[in-house]
Amino acid sequence: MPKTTTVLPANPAEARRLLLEKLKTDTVLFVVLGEGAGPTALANEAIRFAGDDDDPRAVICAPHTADIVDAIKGLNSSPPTLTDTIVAGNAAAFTTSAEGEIRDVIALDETVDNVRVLQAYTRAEES
Amino acid sequence: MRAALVVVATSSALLSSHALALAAAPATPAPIMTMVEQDLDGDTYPVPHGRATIDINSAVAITIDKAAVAKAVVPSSGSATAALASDYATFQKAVAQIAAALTVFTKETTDLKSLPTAERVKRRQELVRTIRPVADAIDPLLKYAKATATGTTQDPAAQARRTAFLQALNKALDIPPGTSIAAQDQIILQTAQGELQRLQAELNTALQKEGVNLVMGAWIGTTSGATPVHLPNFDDYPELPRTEIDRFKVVFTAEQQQQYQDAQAAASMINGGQASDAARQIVTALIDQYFSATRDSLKALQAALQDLRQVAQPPVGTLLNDLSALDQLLTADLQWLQQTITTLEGMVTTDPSGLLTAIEQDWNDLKTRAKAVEDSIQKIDGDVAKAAAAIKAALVKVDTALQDVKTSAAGDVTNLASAIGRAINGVELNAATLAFGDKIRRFDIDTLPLSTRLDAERAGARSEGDELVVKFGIERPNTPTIDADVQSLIMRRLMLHVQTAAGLVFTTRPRLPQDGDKKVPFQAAPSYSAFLKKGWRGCPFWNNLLAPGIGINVAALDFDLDGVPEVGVGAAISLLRDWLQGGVGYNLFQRRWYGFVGIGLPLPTFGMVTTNNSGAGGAPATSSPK
Repeated sequence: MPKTTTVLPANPAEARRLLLEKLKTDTVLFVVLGEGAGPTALANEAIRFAGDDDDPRAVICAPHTADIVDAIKGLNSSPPTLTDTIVAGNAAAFTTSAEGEIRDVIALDETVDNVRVLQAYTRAEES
Repeated sequence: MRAALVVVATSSALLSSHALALAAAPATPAPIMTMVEQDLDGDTYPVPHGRATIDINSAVAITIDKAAVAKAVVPSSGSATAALASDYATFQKAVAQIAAALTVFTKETTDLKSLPTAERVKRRQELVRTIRPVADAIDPLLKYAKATATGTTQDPAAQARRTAFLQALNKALDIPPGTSIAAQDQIILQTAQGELQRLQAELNTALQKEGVNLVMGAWIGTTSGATPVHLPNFDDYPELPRTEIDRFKVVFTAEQQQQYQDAQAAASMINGGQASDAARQIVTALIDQYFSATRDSLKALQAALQDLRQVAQPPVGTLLNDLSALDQLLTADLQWLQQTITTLEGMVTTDPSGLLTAIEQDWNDLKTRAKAVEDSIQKIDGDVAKAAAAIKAALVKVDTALQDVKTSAAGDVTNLASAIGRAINGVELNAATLAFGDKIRRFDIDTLPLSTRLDAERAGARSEGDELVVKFGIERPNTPTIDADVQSLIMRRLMLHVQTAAGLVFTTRPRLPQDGDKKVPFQAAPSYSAFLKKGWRGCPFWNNLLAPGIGINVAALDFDLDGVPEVGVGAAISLLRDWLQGGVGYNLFQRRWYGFVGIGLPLPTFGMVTTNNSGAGGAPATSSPK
């Protein structure tokens, strides 16, 4: 059964709290940043590869990136430059490992195909 | 009965995905052959690559890593074939890793679905750990596909391969939402397998054009030399019957019985106060055994020197005689000359008229004397030439004998060092000299079998310390075969086993009245021992040198010195390949306890304590066909 997307609320504090809560769920997160047609399409792609109900993948939509920037700054990142890309507003999405570490960033100017979405998940799932 | 050994199709799954980094080549190439030993109990042990020790009765499952083969076949980078081989290796490894990891993950997810909800939630969290190896294996392939986009590949053909794979993967991944991760990864695996087959065909065509053949062979090295051993799937050598080296059979070989008799003789001499004679015999036996060539060449040198003396004596004697005669002649001539001059001086005043006649006469005498001197010198010349010729021939013989002494001494020392080395380290084959014969089958990368099994029990006659060598080779027209991978397997008796020994022990014995005030008396006695021993994989010091054992010792004692043997039975420990042993025994006849030590030397015939199965110097282990 397809999964659904968790959309972070408009309230910045609530959005931050929900994101941090999701980061603690032993699940790989695919966080889509921004709103509009592009992010929606990307979120749909992410849902397509999120697996079934038992699979440890989840999709989060963060329409207002600025609301969660502080939370993102507090996360570990491998490599560390990934956080900078997100904070600089150059990221369309990012993935986090089950331990809440940022593992991959899809840049705004990237061509996103099936392989790229899957790659973002895979990097978050690696050792 | 030996359990069947399951051979995994590739070893790649054992490797970390980090080794699959596309750009960076590893500093040392990955081994082509991966081996797992299975002993008689069915227990398995990974065999360290390079030089390793296995049990003498074990079988070894050999797995061929085609990815490593591909890299070895095209070692030089930069060419189109090298890039193709590199891509092939990447896929070969990745596919193997994905397949192995995905099997585990798929089972986990399938099991998960049959669980009650509460437990299912808990187990779901564990999936993130099970999925890691799958992700580790898949990532290099995704990176490979995306390399087109990042432009990291310069070779147009390689670029085209990546683009095609990316397109194939994107198409295959057009999946509906809700498709499980396991199913997604299965799609990736299938697409990669298709690409792998295509790459293999392409690589095979390229290598066939270059005339490349792949070969693998095995040999057993014993003190008699190297002999090919059958490797199923890889050659047409006949399969030998299985022969197990007995582990618990207590048998004393004919050589050990001889050693016992030698020990008996030595004990008799030592107990009779002739310890130095016994020692001399041992030293003589040592020299006979290890320095016979030097001894023989020294004898030859001695004979050559005697020849020189005999050959040189007659011509030199003649020469000396002739020199003496010349000396006498010259002395006489000198005296005559002085006398003639004096006479002629007198005639100047007394008989001037007769002077001319006298001078003429003296001149004639002088000519005669000069001729005699000349003849004498010519004779000496002839003597010198004859003596020189005779001495030269004899000297050449002496020189040759001297060279022989040097050569044989060096040879004996080398042989002794080799014998000691063999006793400690076992037989060492020079793998480079082992040629792939006509009975070894030739393969291309398509037809290359992925596994085989080397059974030490089917390797024929073998002793502890003998070596099995397995080589993987790459043949190209008009160039020497490349040994792409070589594995050496030293056969030791690693499993618990009994090892027998015969030799000489020194025991304490009770003081007798005839001993007087001497120190605590000891007695030399011949003995047989049987030790329980066990090898230690990965510890050559233990197996090759320490080789400890614990067991029993039976000695032929004579505590009351009445010439009638008494049986002593003791508990013994042995160290250093039985060169040292000691323990405590009980004289069954005299009902007395005693302590004993044995000092063994690797003497084949006059040994104090020499065991069987001790490598080069030992007798072959007892064996029985199954």
